[in-house]
Amino acid sequence: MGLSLIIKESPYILHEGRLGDYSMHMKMEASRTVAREGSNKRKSYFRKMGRQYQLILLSIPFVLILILFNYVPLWGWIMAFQNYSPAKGITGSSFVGLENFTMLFEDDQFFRVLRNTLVMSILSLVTGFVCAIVLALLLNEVRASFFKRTIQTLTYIPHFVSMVVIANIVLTFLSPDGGFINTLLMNMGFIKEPIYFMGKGEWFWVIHTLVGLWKEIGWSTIIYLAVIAGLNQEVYEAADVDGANRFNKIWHITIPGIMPTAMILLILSVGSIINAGYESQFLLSNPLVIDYSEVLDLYALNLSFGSQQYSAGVALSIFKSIVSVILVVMVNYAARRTGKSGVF
Amino acid sequence: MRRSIGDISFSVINYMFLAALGMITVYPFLNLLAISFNDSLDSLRGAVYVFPNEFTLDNYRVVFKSDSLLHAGILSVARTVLGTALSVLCTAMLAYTLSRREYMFRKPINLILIVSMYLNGGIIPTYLLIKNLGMTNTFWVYIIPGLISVFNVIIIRSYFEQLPEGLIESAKVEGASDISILFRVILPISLPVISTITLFVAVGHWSSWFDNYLYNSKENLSVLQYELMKILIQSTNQVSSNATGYVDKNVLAQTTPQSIRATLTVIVTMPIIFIYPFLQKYFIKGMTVGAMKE
Amino acid sequence: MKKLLAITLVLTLSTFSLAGCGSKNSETTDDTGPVKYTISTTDPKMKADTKIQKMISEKTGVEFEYMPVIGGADQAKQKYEIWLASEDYPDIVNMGVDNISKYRDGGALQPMEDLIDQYGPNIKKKFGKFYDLLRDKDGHIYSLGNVNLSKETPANVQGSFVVQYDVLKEAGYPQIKTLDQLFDVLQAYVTKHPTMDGKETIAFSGAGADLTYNNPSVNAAGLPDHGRFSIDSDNNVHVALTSDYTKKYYGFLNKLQNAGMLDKEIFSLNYETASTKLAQGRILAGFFPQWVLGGPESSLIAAGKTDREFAKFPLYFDENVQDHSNTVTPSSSGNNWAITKNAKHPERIIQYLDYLFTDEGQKLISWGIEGQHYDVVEGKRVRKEEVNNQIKGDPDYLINEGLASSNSMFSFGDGAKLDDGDYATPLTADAIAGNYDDATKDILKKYNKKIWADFLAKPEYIPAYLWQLNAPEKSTAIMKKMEQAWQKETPKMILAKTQGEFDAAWNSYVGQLDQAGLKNLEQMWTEKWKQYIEVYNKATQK
Repeated sequence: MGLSLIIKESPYILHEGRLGDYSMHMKMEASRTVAREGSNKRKSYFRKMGRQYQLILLSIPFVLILILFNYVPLWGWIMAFQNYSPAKGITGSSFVGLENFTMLFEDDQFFRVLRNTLVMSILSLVTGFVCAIVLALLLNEVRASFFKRTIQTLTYIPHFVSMVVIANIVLTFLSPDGGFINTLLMNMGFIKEPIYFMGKGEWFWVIHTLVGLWKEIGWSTIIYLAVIAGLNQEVYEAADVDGANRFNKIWHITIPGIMPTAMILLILSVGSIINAGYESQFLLSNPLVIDYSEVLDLYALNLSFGSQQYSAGVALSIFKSIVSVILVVMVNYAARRTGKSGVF
Repeated sequence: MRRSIGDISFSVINYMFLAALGMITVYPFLNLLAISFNDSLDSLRGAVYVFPNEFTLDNYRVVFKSDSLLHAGILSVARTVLGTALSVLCTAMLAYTLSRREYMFRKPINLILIVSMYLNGGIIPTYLLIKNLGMTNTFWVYIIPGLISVFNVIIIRSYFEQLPEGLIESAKVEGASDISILFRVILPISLPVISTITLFVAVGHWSSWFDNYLYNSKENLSVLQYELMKILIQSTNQVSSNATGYVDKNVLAQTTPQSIRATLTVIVTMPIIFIYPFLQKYFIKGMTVGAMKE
Repeated sequence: MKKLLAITLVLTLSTFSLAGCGSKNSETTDDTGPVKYTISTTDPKMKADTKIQKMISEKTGVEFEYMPVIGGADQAKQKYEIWLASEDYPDIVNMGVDNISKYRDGGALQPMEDLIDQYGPNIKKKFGKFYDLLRDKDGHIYSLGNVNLSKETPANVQGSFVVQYDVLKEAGYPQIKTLDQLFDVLQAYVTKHPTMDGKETIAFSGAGADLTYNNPSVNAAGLPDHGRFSIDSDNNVHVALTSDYTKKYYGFLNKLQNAGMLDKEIFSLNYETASTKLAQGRILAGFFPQWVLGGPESSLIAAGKTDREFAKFPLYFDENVQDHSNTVTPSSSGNNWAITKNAKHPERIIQYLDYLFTDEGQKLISWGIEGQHYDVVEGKRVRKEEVNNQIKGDPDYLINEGLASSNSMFSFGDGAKLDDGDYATPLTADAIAGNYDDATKDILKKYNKKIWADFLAKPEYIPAYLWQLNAPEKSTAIMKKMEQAWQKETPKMILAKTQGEFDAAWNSYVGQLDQAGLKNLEQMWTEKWKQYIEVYNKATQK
């Protein structure tokens, strides 16, 4: 798919003349496939392998490395069904069946924590996704190269500042005891009493999302800038000839151009919405908002100091993996059904 | 070209908005920069914003007193350069094969890759694997296990898929092999995405310390981040533990964890900021793919 | 794995059969030849080649290589678990009792008692009647900590309720004994000085849940620090979180809150943000131990605001509270050394430890080298002035010299005396008082005291702190649950507008903790404690 297909929907493609090449190629490929169907299947299979040996050479070694480091350690999942102790190892630890899983689901905290995780992840995902694209588009509209490069550098810097620092800056800014925001609001007459922003449960999700956005927006924009940089300039030039204005070009060329990558990033991140980490939530949290701030990973950490510590953690990790894979497959299926390209 | 009023006002608003955004996002770092050059006891009072109140180099002196930094720094650079080069090369090769629609193993490999992103065997099995491979206390443990990042493969793959099909077809007609198509045709016009991935991988290598902590206990294999982490923990320990019993308020605060942390962040981030423009030029300026098409 | 198992087996066998005889490894041929052991440390900058360590190594032939375990509790735990699972642990592990028991259950440790019998006469002598307390249920000794021989309060111990010097000065240096007296003094001061440098004056603050609600309530009740528990005279363990004194302390915080004197953001302050406010001098009082106050007080001194430093003394709910909070235990350590199966010739480690338990060893680890770090003046050890100055100027000095090291934990304790009748460590009342600034000396003079420790009650001997014992199985899970409810519910009581609201919140909170398994938890710990007391009595009454 990719660019060619999207450009087909663009009115400016007619000047481009590449579409013809592409559809011709597709037809040829199709006819080849039909022709192949008749011959001996196994024979053609090996012949194909022979023909594609370079592709195999360029991929299989790395797939093996990946399998080695990502799939082989999965034997550790056995621990979830045991009362595992590192000292006894897998062979020495006793089996407890599904006890570790039922322990998770029976805990009345579990679903509250799951809710918080999902809400905060989805909020971060949606805002992060939209804002990164918008920022990329806005940066792309800047003609002054120096300005563009400077702003781009400035926006990605917070990515390197540790969350501890960011959290303390936020706490200080929002403090009801002479914090910047409260002072500002009071001086402007909007409020009479300072607001305890960090003490309001309902606000926690919003604050957490904004902080995440502030820290990561520039970093996540980089990838879209790269995609935009790779778009065919001729298409823009052709659009200029057609008298398209700035917004036409953004809407009909740039956005369709970054869509495939954006969709892929979206699908991949949907898979990890349950894997939200806990650092930022933990650092911004306090007893007043704990009902809204506690997330799965922190809960797991607390669990891991409990009795069946190691096993319960693995059980949770399996639960998260299953949810992730289901989500990715579903979203991917939906994406393919709606005509956009999926990840696999 | 004539520009409409709408166009101009959009530009003005856009510039203003971006400038404001830039100021907001750079603040935390400026703040850290100021704190790192400020007297730590003064910083503790919380009135440092973007300029130091009482300029000092003490924080840097405390950090650079550690004699293991030079060696660790060299190792970090080696790790970043070698690790990034290998990783980007291998990732690009794998991504290229997956971008080829006719590749027979494309589907199963894609599936294996994507699913692996969401699986985690746990820290003990991973450690035992790496130990049995004989990779503990070696340099290679920094490079090999993370050689392929699936996320990066997918990104590069999707970029390759967007390139004009005709390029590959015409190269094939001329009798080029897949390997030479990748290196002669595809990579040269994929600099935006390659430089982006290079940045991601390099930053990852430069800032990781946990693999060092888990797998390599020999000091001569320490990377910079790990040594800096030790300094930070040391300064926190000095405050929180009076295990030795000799901590009194006069001893305590030559530097504070807050100032040390600021200093370390600056030290770690500066190289990235300096190298960044060299990569940035590849993805910030529009590339003319068309020009290379022929 | 197999290879490692084989090696371990061979090593273990050789340990038992070849002890003292020649082995193929030239490093470890005889009793005094040099031998190097790996040892874990949570202090990443620990140095193995310091002057003092070299001196001890000369005497014992034992050298060390540190293996850092760093990061938060979870990262440290991961490292210990990985070591245990892979048998990659160092020769000696230095860790808390909970981790040691995991290593013991995993068969990773070598029992010490036979080796101590043979090679550790000083260890036995110094532990004396407490020696049998080291034994595990199975009669083996798996780990060794320090023995606390001190009979007096260490000079650096101080109360954690703190009040600004200026508050005391304006009130005319009153004797403050109770929380209510503190309240009145603070109220008078805040009314007179509602702002400081343009910012609001904060009468009372805290940082983190423990320092805000738990520790101060135990302290104000005059009870020993058993963490989240208290122990009655019949040796029954009670959870402190739902006790009457906790309710009383919440009442005190509630009173401050309704008078507008409690920090507005007390629930979201962390150590760093609280430190900032303390360093600004805007917090008049609170519950802050020295490790929180250290930085801010230095900052105040540097800014010349010495009237904003803090006086430290104990406070009680009322005049009738008897203070039992100043306690001495047989061992003051939470961490111990244990010898793992990876260690060849474990008897060498015991010999090394035995040396540390001699007076000569104690002087080396705590005082340093005579003539270099201390002098003997009129029969008494005195730390050299230049050493004191070095310590003030360089935070790493103690570590670099070897005055702070893994050995330090085997000190007989601050305030303990060696056989020569002089102190075992340089941390004496004179040394502490010598470090005070003038403002501090002045204020202490007003109260006729020399050091802050003088405000404390007479030390009492107790068999152990509860947190020194191994947590009962399944107890941590219940505790986690209770802590969650505790953190969540406590603000409701402190923010209550009326007494009725307060009581309702309290009842609901107690109900939640009951439901989490409070009774069960108390029972588990009571059992554990009584077992320990039995052992303690048997051991000490011999």
